[in-house]
Amino acid sequence: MSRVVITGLGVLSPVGLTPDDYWAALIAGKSGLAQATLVTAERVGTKMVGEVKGFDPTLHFARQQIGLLDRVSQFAVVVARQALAQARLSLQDGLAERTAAIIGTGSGGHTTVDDSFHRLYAEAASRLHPRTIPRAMISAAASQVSMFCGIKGPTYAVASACASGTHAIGQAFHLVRSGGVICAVCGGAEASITFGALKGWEAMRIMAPDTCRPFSADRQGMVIGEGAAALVLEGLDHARARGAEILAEVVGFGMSADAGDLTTPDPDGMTRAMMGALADAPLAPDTIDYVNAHGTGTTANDSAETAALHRTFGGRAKQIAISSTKSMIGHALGAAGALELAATVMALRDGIIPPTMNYVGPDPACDLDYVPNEARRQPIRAALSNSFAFGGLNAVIAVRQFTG
Amino acid sequence: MADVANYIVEMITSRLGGDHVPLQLSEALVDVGLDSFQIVELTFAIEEKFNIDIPFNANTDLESKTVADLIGEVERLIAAKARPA
Repeated sequence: MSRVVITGLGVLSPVGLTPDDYWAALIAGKSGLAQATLVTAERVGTKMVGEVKGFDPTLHFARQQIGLLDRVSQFAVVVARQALAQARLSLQDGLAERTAAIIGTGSGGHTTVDDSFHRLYAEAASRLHPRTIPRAMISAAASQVSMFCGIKGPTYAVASACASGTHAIGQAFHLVRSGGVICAVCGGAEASITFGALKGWEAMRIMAPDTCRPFSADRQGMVIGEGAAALVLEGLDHARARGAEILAEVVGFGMSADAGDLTTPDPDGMTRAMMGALADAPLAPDTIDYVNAHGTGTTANDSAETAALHRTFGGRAKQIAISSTKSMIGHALGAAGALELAATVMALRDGIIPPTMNYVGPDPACDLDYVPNEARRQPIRAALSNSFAFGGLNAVIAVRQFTG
Repeated sequence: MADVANYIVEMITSRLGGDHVPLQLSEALVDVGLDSFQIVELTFAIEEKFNIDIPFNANTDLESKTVADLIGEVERLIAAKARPA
């Protein structure tokens, strides 16, 4: 069993296009939520989204390459490159074969699907471009990360809706810990702010008309986001031998399924995933100082998650700082868990807890410390990052400060 | 039909990025330097341009056909389309 450390991060988010910019924005409480520009807003009922503004693919790819890459794959490749660059990891001398690329995404190349099928159905095109399938397939982002970064070990996509990124990182963690690979580039990517997807979300009737207010009394739902984050995971011995800077240690991964309702979250499933991560580490509950919550801003999620935190931590729950960064970046679905773990790692590193923004007052069903509206300076020994998906798919990662 | 030949030659050379000029019409598509997916994309571009369907799938050995073969086949398909049924 190898200890597993994080040596690189990559981020594209609605509030910053690098890990540093993302982190600076989160601790300043900056919002990346605004009226949609990627779709024609007139025909969308819920116009508030979290778009990755200012992303220019021509800064990262040649023109011919862009043609092969849906926006989601562009995001994935860019964050993978950032993470490898920060880790100063060069995949030489057989390391490429012993490095994994595991990328979660909820819906893959959604822009390609939307645009292609519009051509077919609305414009009566007689044929689609041969790049349609290679761009749209849910594993495209993982394949492109492998091809652009030269990663030749285990490579695949993980799909578990809003938990995809967390499941992907957890799988990579277990693969490095077992010695199956030495390094992994893992995370999540999502770029599904399309007309078709937004109308689908609208039909779920869980979208906030104003903004995302996790755990707040008057919360009205979630806001769809997009983006990507990647982490370089590395066996501790390997990281030490090459003198890599260690950002944090991944210690536990817990998974569970509710086997219940499609959309109503179940505190029992959430509790089992959190307790699973603690047991996998193992970490005593009283060492957890911070939880980056799933915190979508829906009535059901935030009260169920609060109940699960009580069950998992007992009397300790009220002493744990809990925040939802979705209040600033929205819900990036399959990328959410990776973006949130990246935030959690920087919180550990700097001893700063990012706030839950847009919080106006307590809900009796949400009675914990949600770090409302202002970041807090506080040392963190260990933390959890929660992801609880539609379909009852739960995944939780435990990280702690690397202290040698 | 010279425009057909010119279009196909241009589509091939643009995909090769100037690495392979001049193009020999007697060369097989694979020897010209096109990979299998580029041949699929080339087929799509020709179909869109001339509004024809080129009968080609993964079991068809299009790669070993020459540039001249391809031009001839496309010209035949265009002529067949123009002919009243």
